[in-house]
Amino acid sequence: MATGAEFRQDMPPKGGYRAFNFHRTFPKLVWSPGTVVAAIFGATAYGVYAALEGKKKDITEKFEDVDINNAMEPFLTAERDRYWLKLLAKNRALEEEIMKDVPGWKTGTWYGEPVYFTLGDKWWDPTATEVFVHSRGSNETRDHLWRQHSEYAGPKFYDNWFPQWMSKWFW
Amino acid sequence: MATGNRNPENFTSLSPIVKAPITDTLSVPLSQQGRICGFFESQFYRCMEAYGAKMGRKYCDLEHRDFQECVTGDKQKKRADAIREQRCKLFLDGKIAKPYVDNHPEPGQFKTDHFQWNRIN
Repeated sequence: MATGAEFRQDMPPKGGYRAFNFHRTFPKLVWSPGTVVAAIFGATAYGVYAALEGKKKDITEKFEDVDINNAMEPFLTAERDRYWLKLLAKNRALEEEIMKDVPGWKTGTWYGEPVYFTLGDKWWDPTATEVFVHSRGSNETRDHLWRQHSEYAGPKFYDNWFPQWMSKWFW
Repeated sequence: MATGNRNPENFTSLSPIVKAPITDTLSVPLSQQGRICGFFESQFYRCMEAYGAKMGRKYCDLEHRDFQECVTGDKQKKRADAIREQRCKLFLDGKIAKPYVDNHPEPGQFKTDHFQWNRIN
């Protein structure tokens, strides 16, 4: 038996619930779907065109580079030989200077014994063992691994980020 | 081998046991042809063919030593070690500032051309 405070049953509010929106809600259209499809198609078409033009440009540039190298091959070969002969001459001068006080030493030989007997006056290029004798080991390693070097030989954007002693460990 | 056609070095060079044209063709990878020492190898074997196996041991000694020198680089290594040792000695005595020359072969300066006698390209 309920005595004291009066119990109140939960009932809908007076006048009933207010009307709620049961219709489908659409997002706010910034651009129409047709515009989006047209933009994507346009970007794709321009991308394909740019790729083809870029390929042609690369081929043309490569062709020009090869043509320039072919035209300059005699000069490049001559300059390479001059460069190489300069190095050999400097190496010989350095050897003469260094081994001046060694008794019995003759420049270009092993204490008077030639490296190759049967060549006579013909020239035989020395190997890396003899050429890099006046250099530190990193020079020989650098030359040996030069194919992994970037073709760009100028200053790089990260040259100021690292100290000088670290620059020989990366190119 | 019993044929007596062995080279002066003992088992340091491979050669086919059966001598036939097909083995000559197939034994090219066992030789130095197409490599840096191919010139000295041809020179040596031409001399051995001229003098024969027995007389070649005596008269082809220089060619043989040149071939061995090219393959092993013995005198070149000894020369390099002697020069480096002398450089270190002079550096320790205070006669030179550094035991090496800075940036001495610049990149791209080392360009050997060992096939100028028989250019292959």
